[in-house]
Amino acid sequence: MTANDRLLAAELVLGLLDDADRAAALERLLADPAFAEEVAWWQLKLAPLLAEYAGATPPPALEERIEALLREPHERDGTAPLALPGKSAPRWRWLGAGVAGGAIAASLAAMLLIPASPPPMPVPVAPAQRPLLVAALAPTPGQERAPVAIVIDKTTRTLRLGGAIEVPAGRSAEFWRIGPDKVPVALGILHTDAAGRITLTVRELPRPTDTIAVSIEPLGGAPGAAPTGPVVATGVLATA
Amino acid sequence: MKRPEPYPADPSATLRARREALRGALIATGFADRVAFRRVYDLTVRKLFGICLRICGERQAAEDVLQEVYLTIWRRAGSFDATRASPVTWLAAIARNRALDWRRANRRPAPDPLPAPGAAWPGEPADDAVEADEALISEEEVARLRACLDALEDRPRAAIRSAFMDGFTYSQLAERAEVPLPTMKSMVRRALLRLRDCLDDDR
Repeated sequence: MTANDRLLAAELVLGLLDDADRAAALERLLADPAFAEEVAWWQLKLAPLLAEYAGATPPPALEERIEALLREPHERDGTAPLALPGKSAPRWRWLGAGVAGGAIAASLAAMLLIPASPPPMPVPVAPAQRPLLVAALAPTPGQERAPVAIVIDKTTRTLRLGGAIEVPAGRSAEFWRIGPDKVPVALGILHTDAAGRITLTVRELPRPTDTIAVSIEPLGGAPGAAPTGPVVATGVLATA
Repeated sequence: MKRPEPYPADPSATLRARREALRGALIATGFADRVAFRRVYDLTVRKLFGICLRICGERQAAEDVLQEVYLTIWRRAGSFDATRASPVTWLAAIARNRALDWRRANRRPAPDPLPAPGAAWPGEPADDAVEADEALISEEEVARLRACLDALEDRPRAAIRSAFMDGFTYSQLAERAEVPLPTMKSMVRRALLRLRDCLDDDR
């Protein structure tokens, strides 16, 4: 961790960076645990400044609106509440919501990388093109493992891993995207490139809010269109 | 046999109790517990709305952003790591980032910073105690950071505060201070290194 890295962490927390530098720092956050620790340190140390924001009371109707939004999808079609994407889909019940605990990067990712739900904003203007999609893949329940960050570069269609996924000998780790239709679509098989990086080129670009799942398959990938082996990690994509 | 807790007359004990209540409620929210979510809302809404108001600079937008903030909290509470992160810090970061996203997406200029309440930052007036309490932050933590910030020169200190509170980027700070961007950057970065040294003695 150089002095520059420490400064970058502080700059990210304070919000000093412009869009391009911020996107780069966020990518770093997911891929580099030491940097994530430094970001968390600054966040903690600067937190007393929060005391300076004057509190304000929103209209009471707002709480009702929020509660109604939480209830809505549940009562309309019997799916799980918003917090548990994928849980309601019978084929993917085993995905569960296994995101408890884990590496600090996952926690930071949650606050810095907000999933792109359509915000009910007045006069929305399209934000600048952001080429990165990120997710913290949490291990499925029953595994004592830290979440693994992934970054997908939309322009090169490469998916890179910020940590290791254990693959038994003679098997392959296959990546899947699961969109709103809950049907898993194969993205590709993980391999090590010439530079020693664990990477894959995605066949089809996933979209923000898609769930990414990793399953252990026979060497070369699942024989059919659907995963056959155990799912070892899942996470929801967000725009960086 | 467990004795009932005495009523905590000591303000720091009250603060601890409220922090623990928030931590528990946030963890339970991660399991899609609506009652716990309501508790999180009650404990934090005034502070988080204050953040949205200040950064958005307009009430309607702040309300819309606040709604998104709580929906995000609901969706993301499962990834809150209670062993490592402070609940308030985590929640406030969501509010700050959401509000800043709104401002970027709507190409709004940063709002004029509000006139500083009193002279220096967290000043002595009585209602500061209320704000610190709402932020669930102890006076010791406030005093510690204040001592380190006070050791900096005025201009970089004001820039760092303003970046945090109002979400100003380097370019916006430079524009406001009417100095070249590289000047602003090197001034702030020098100050941040000093600040880090000052805050670092417990590492």
